[in-house]
Amino acid sequence: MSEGNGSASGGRATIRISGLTKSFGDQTVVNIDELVLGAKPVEGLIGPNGAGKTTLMRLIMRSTKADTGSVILDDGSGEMVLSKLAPHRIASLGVVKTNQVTQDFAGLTIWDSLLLAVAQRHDERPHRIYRERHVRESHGEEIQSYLDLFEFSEPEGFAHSTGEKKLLDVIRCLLLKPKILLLDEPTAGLPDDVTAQVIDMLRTKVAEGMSVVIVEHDLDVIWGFSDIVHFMAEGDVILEGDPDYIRAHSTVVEKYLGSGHV
Amino acid sequence: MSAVWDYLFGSPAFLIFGTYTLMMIVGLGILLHLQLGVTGIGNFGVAGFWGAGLYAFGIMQVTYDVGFWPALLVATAAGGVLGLITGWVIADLDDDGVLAATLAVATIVYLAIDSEKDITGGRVGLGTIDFPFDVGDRTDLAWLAILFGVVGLLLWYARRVHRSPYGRLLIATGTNEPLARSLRKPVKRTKVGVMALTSAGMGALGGLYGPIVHFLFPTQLTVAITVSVITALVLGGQQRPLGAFVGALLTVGLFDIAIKLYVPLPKDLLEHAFPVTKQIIFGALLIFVLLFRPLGILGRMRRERHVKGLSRV
Repeated sequence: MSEGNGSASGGRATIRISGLTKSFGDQTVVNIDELVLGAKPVEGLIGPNGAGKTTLMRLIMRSTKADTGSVILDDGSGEMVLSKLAPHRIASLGVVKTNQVTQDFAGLTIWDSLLLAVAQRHDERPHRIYRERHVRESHGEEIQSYLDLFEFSEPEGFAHSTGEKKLLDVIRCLLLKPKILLLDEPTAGLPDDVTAQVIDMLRTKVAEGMSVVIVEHDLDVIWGFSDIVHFMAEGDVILEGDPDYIRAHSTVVEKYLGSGHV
Repeated sequence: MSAVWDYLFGSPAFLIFGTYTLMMIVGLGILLHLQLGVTGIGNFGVAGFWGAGLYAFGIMQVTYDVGFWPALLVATAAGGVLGLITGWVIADLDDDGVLAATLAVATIVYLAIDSEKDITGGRVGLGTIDFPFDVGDRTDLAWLAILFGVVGLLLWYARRVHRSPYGRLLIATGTNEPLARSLRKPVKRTKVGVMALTSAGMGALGGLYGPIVHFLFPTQLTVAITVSVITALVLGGQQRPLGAFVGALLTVGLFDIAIKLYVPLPKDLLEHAFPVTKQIIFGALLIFVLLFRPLGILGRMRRERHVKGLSRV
């Protein structure tokens, strides 16, 4: 099944999935026996609509509860069973996910939203009502460096367009300094030049040790960015390999790409 | 000059009692603002948390002859523990569920106080509760000054919360729970915490109300308290710390103080038709505001102003 899929994680955190299933009514949307994510710096996850890609990511984050199976994080210092933890604990352990559907906080400005991401639990106690300046001074430069990379129409105000909210989603996640970042169509709706900027930014973070698992319908992003690609169909990963292997494979061509694509 | 003074302050006892009520509504409104306007918890049981504090204070003072400060501490704890339990129960409920559950809490508190006659005195009442000090004719006024101070502290705290990381956490929890969770934020703990904290405040306000009325009756804990607080907050602006103050001035201040004191209405009208008319006007006001200005007179939070203010520091 696999081609070019080395098992060594090279010190990176990995997620091991075993016997994971999820059904909605009679329909099984995820049914994975064994899968390891994060062994390579950038892993693509592709497949036709309804293959279970987004559901798999939601199961890892426990924003959707699995019917059976386990998800285990191995970050080098030990193993933790993610499938028994609350979503916020999973994020605290360094597994973070962007959202396929644009999400934002209605009452928070761009700066608010980013300061929220960096604030630690001890900053957010009810009696710490003078903590704002400390958080701002500790993380203001880092936040500003992200805001300098991209053009927001009103950086001190609210994110207005879908594109701005998408970018904000990615930046918020990066500010959490994840070990493994799950990206669910992070560039959907972004112009080509901004997409390229986002990918460049992610490459920098990957070089610093972060692992990326990306679901993306823009296959140019997948082929150009991924070290390995997992192909999902009918709830299971049926093929793994490097991008060239996957894009030329007859199953992928038949079920997903169409013969004209290769 | 003397005539104006007499006109304005000719009935000091009524004015002081009206201002007590005004301060209670403002204080409870500020706490409800933190629950509803900031964290999105629609507490329809304000009277229950306030009443738990009121009766805890009364029982400590009358039945157990406990001093003022320990009794106030127990009142605060009673509100807080009730808020903690309620917060834990409602944390995973939707908006309708939260409204129903908090209303149920207030009903349980009312029924418990009404039925447990041995402890609460039931409808016979519980008293007498006196002020913890006596400065002669000015005791009422001194207590009012203390209430002003307490409400001022609550307002100051609410405004500081808006400018703190804690406030940002509450807003995030209130507007998008799944997104807040994905950013490591313990949403359930946050909701339980804010319910416990603000309900403790409501309990403390209940305790401070005890010496004002001297005698406690279950009828003091009806839903009318909750409706007054919600009306004031929604009218003034639920997302703004000053919203409850503006709303309470326009409701309790106008109807329960100004009109009663300064408009020469016939006694019969004042005692019978006026209270009913007032509730009808409050209801109509609520509908009008929710239809045409859902965020009340003061409108939405001004977060961008806060961010710009910080960047200038």
